[in-house]
Amino acid sequence: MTDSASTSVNGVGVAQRIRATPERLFRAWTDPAELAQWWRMDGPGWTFAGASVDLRVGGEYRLAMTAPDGKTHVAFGVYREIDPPRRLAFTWDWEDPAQRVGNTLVVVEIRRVSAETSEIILTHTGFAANGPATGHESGWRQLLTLLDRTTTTEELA
Amino acid sequence: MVTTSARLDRTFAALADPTRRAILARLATGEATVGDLAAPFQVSRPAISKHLRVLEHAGLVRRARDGRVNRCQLDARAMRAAAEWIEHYRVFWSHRLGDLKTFVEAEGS
Repeated sequence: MTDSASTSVNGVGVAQRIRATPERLFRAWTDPAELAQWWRMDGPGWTFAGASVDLRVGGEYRLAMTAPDGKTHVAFGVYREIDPPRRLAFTWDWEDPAQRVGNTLVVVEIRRVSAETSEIILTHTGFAANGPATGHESGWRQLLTLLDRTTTTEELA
Repeated sequence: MVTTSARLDRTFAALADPTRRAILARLATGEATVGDLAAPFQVSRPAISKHLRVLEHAGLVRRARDGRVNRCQLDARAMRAAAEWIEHYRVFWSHRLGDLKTFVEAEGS
């Protein structure tokens, strides 16, 4: 679905090229009326249930969706970086205690690749708090190598 | 979407420490005693034991008593569960960007 993607123990990255200007895409991410048009969950029966955006560093956002069972799922966080139309960074978590992920960070980078096309690179990191910052690369890389190996050699219990 | 659990929280918390990641990386090469594990670090054996307890509690390490020696083994299942859980997010964001593309391109600019 996306142009490229990656997964690590501490985060994920996805990229997508879209026929639109960076300005247009930045608006789609930050205007509640725009978010209402594309912020969906997968599967039938999910509906958009409201967005609030306080677009300033330290300002809060909330994105709500209602599941087929009627339960509303609210993602929320605080804007950390706002650099239109290039970069948007915000913390991410779910209100539902059962879905909590802690203080994770989503970074949306938008760059123009041609007159008509832009690329969005989205990373969502921080699942293991302070992972890359304190441990730095080598430890994580070893763990990923290990994970690859055990995934193929160890049978599921 | 995905549901977390206390178990995943423990896994992530356990993985958040560089010494514990180094211990796991060492165990990935094969089982080791507590003494083996303590050797490369500038920390005491009790400190290593404490890290091991955290790893054990998170389900990442198993300890087996072999006579008077504690042998440690990696249990990668918990880490794989954490990675799989994060993988859900990769799918989630892929779909969101796909939906954004569909919306913006259908609308025109």
